[in-house]
Amino acid sequence: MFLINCPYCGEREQAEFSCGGEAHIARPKNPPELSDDQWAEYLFLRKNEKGVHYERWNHEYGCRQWFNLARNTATDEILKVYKMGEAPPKLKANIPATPSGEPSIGSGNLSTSKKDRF
Amino acid sequence: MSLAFNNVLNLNKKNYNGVTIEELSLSGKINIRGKSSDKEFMKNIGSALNLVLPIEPNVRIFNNNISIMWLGPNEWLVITPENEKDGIISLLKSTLNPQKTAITDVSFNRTILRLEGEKVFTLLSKFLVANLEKILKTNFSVAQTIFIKIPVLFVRNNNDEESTSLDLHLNRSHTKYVYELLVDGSKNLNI
Repeated sequence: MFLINCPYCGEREQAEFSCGGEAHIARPKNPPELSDDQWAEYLFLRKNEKGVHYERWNHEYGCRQWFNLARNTATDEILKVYKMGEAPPKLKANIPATPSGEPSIGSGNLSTSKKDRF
Repeated sequence: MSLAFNNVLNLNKKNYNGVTIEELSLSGKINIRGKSSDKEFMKNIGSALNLVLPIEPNVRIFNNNISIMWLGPNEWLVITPENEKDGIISLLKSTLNPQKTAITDVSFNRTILRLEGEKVFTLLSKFLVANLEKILKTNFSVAQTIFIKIPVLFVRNNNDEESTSLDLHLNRSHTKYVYELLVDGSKNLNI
């Protein structure tokens, strides 16, 4: 169990929150003009990084507000919490090496080979 | 037709190793939703209740009869005497724009357990990860959280220098379960 610092209520336990997946994914402006592959990428493909991951979270059992959170997926450390609409902070995370030498980007997700979206 | 609701536990104030627990009699509880950025909404609420809605998080404000608790940036809970509730709801509904606000009577959905004594926070810390003592420092503070997997609202009734008094707002259906766990948890408070 770890604590999350809600930008509205303050520190609460993680069980009060629910994760809404990757943050900062903008809906395409002209969906009819997109190919099926482009639309599928927007809908389904997500990063699976080892390191800083920007996520949306909801304080479900508190103020019921959505906010963004930057988390180091290698250590589960919460690096930054910020409100919706704010720009994602540029952060670096400490990524400990693993004995298996796994890559910093998950090999199972093809979309992660693409460059950062912002 | 108004419904007659009794208390859930039907028990008198009782001391359990330094923590007294009692269920308060029914009060009016009105949930208000609206945008705090809407000046007209904030002004109309202020004139109807004679209190300004708190914008600061985890805060409650009160006058003699009415308490208003901050639940979120756009949500508040108003506690009124039971006999004044219907009048206040009618007043709010006639004052506020129904397309931009929601006023819900949640009086019969919830009950309030009052916990008093020096060991209240010690007892609660057995079930909580977050440090409630830090959050509920003054008599103006409230905190929504999960308590033994149940969504609850804690309200501080007094200042830090006094013996602690907390109100625990919770669903009626969970009251017996929470009460029994609190009594069970209080058994080794003196050890």
